Amino acid sequence: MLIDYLNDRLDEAKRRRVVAHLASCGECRKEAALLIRLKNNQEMALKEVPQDIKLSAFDLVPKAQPQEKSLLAMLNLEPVYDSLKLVGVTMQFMKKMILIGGN
Amino acid sequence: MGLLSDSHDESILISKAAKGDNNAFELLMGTHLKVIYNYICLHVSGEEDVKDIVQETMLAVWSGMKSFSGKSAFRTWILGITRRKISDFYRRKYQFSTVSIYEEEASLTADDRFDDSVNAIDVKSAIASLSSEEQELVFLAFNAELTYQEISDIIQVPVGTVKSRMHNIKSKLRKHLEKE
Repeated sequence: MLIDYLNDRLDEAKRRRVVAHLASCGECRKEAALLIRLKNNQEMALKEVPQDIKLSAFDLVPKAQPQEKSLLAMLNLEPVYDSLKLVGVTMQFMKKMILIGGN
Repeated sequence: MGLLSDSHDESILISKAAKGDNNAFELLMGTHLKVIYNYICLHVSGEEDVKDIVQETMLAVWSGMKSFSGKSAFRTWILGITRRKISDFYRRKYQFSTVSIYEEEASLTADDRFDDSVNAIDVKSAIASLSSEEQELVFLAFNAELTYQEISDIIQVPVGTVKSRMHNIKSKLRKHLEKE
């Protein structure tokens, strides 16, 4: 559990128990000191990823194909088309209302 | 702050990557690339071979994104894949051999083996004197920040064995450091 505590992998309740225990246990404090030294060494020993590996890491991953745009989308006329559709729907509705009113 | 990404941001990227979002995938894997690279370097020495295994790992993770269930931590899952890619590499390289990763490493690095009588005893030297299996365990616990259960899932040994190996490692390190 000490390693999980140092790696920040414990929930709040367990963290508090570890802290409380360390306050009263010399052996565990010595163990924690060893583990901290080990963890610090490990973090310093991590090598940086070379630039060529960073740049080529995803070369084998297939790239998503760009979606084909409609002519309307390409000409940026979609908002105009949507407005005209709305006018058409409104007129249909008004026609029905007139017919119902006539009856 | 641990090496693991903020879990909320990470789960958003995982969800997007699983739907085929390349940018989200590269952002997501970018946060784990250093650990993956160093894990591969623990087992493989040639720069070109390491590069190939990094690429194959990325492809395998991408291919498996939709099936990542979230039962294990994401880092545990990707390091499990990385380990399998390292095994595949050795299997291809030594096609007719049944030698394990560790036996092969021992023969490849024999000339670089740490010599106590020449080098100063410190934490770095103490770790260098550990076996390859022990160094891997130290890496997974302190660099990948995995729990014993997660380590057990990756290296496929019971969690009790992981605990006792770690106990032995700490005893060895303590003995080395007490000589300082």
